[in-house]
Amino acid sequence: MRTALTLVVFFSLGSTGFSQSVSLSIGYASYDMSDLKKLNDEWGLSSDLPLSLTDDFPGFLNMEVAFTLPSNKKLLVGGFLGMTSTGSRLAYNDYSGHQYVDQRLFCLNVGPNSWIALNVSDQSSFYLGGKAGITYTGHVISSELIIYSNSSSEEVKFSSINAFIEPGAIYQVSIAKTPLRLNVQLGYNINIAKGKLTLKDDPNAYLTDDSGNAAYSNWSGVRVSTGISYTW
Amino acid sequence: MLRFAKLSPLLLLSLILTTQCVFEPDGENLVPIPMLDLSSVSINLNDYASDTIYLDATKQFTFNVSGLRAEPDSFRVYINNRFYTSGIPSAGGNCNFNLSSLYTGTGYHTLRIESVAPSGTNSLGDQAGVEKVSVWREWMLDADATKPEPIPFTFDTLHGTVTLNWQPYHHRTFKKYKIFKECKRHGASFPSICSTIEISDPNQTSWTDTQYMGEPTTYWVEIIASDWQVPGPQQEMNFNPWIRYEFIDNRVKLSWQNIFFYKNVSSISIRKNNVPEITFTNLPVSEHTMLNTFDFGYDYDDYEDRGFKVILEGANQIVVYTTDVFVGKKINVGVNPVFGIYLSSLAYVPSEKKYIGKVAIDNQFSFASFDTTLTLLEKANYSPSQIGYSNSREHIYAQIYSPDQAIASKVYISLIDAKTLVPQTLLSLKDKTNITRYPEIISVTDNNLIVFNSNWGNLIYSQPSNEWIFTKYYNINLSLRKAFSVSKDGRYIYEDNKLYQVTNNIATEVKTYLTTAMRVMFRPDKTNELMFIQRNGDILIENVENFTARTITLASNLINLESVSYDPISGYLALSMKYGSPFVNYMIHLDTGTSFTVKGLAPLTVANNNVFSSAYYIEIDKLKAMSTL
Repeated sequence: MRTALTLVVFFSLGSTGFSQSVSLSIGYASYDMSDLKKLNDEWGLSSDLPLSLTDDFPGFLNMEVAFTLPSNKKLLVGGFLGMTSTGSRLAYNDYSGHQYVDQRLFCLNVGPNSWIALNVSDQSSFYLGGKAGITYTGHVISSELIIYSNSSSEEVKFSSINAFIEPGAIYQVSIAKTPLRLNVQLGYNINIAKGKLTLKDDPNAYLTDDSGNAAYSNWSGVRVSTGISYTW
Repeated sequence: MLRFAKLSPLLLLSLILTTQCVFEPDGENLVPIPMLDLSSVSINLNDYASDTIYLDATKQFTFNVSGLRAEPDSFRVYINNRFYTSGIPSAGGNCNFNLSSLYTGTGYHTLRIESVAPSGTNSLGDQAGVEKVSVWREWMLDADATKPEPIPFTFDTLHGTVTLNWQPYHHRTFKKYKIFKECKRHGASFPSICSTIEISDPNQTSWTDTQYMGEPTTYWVEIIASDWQVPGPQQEMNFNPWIRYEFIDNRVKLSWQNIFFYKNVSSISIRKNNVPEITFTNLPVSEHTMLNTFDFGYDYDDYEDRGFKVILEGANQIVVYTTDVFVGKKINVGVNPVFGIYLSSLAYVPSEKKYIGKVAIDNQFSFASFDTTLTLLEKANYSPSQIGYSNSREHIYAQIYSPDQAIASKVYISLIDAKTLVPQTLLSLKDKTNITRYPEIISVTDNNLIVFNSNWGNLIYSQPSNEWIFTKYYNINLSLRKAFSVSKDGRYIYEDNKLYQVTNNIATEVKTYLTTAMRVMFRPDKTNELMFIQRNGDILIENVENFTARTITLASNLINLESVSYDPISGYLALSMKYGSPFVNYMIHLDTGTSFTVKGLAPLTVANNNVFSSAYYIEIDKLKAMSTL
């Protein structure tokens, strides 16, 4: 609902004489997640089964919707809403069944962005700038054991709020004589503040490692994406 | 709106990407596990290498499974594809089960053993204990469950022992003959299995009991074939030899039937009154003569150890044959004695050739008469409390209660007809004197004087003159009675150390004695002889006419004199003393002064040349001959 309201405001600005844009991009993101990787190490060691790490918080799709407010083409100011996810798996499989210990993480990034044009032309533009904002993390740890036709599973859910900055650059190329532009964006996400992963059912409980230290989600990493923007 | 419409594909794409492009872990770590190789698995049935198993009884089967990666944790057994049993292996991995041919029945059957073990692959399922491997093997069962018939047997007792013979049982399921011997051991209350003998040779069809000596014993032969245990019919062997005894003078000869099963007897012991007498090891022997030490009479409280025991001793046991020994003949009257007494107040009536007295029947005394074999002749319907006899037995008085029982205080003295025991004349003493208590009749003189004695006085009533001719009264509290006796002709009275002479029914004191005699009494059959039975064992007999005296001296002092009995026919005086048990009795012939001693189980009564002791009697001369004291 809030997104829809933003869009209405955004499109209503189109009659002011300045140009504004909206863009959709998709790309690749990598993540730090060192605390959660450590948890996998601990869990693997404590298991009777020879669990192996088959997924280790790999880089994954990074999607983002952004907009710029009406302005001249030298300075772009706007906002964005991004989403990405990752996860891990400790796994043992044989013919009789398997055991999985999964971590699934999903994050929503939201915040303002600002870009300064270094080179503007009708065919292409190049901007430097960055983003800042907060990251909402949804974290699910699940375990599943299946032996022949018997199965058991359990699942716990955590969440946290991080703050980040993401310096970067954007290169835009016009597509023929349309209002559409092809965007290529490069940046690096830095989680500058990390909140505890608190248990969803009990806000006073949070995820720790075997030593009792809080384990944090850390989305820091490279962000590379490409997308299409519409300018009017 | 137009711009929004143009952007709608972009927004739609964004929504799809948002919802679908979420990371999902999908890695697998497939660990390769080697295939289970069951080609080397084998089930080994111990003791049965063949694929065909002969089963003729309950057998324990033991098997183990080799070639599996893990030890079996359970097994199941099927007979003819039907579940029979299941189990778990023992600690060593062996599996056991029992199977009987009685279960399978005779014929061919399949035996299938199925063993279940963890797979041992170390897979997730194996580690969870849900991955099993089942292996099985089948055998052919040749089962025989033929039930044998019971085997009868016969006894052979002709060779000094007992031998059992039976017909053989020939069948491939034969296991053994089992001979049961049930006997009642000496001292045991009930019979029990005393031995079992097992014979595994089917051709052995006889068995000799080398221990049997004649005791009641039950035998049977059981045949065990397959799982059948079929007992044959039982037969009892019981050799109960006769045992006899015979008194010969002062000895007793014990004889017994020749021991039939002499081969099994190593010795024969004789116990007399439960005291070892002699042991014979040089057999056979069937008699023994020994000194007679049996007591005369019968004591119903104390007869168990009275008699002989002939004890046969064998290899591992003894057999005891017993016989009670009774000296004398048993009287034919009286059952359920009163305080151990069968006869009381006994006297012989020569004119009637019968005895008169009180006999105990059903714990009560009744007045009765008996013949010389002590067989009951008449039984009166009353029981006098006291009876007085004259020496001639012409006058017999009994103290009886009034026929009118409602007047309980009325006690009558009645003359008794010795023939019929019917009271002839009722004489109420209360009508004759003012005495309120009735004394005891102790004698009657031949001139018909009735002599009463009590602890409050001594009285003589003359029936012919119908008057009291002698009355002496004492303090009723005196615990001892004053000595009191009257001569048979009524001429002399001894009362409280004084001698009186009676003339015309008047008693005149003629002499005073200083004596401590236990008893003083006139001889019932002599008119002038007064006896002083003294503690030192002397019996002083004084002629009261000329006061000459003679003394009969006994072997010992007289202590605890229980009773005095005199038989005027034989002239014997019986003194019974109780030294505990048994009684010691002196039999004294007053004319000759001879005496002999008799140990008896009850006080003696003498009458008509016989001695009575409770339920037994014997002629005095025979008892004297048997006396060893």
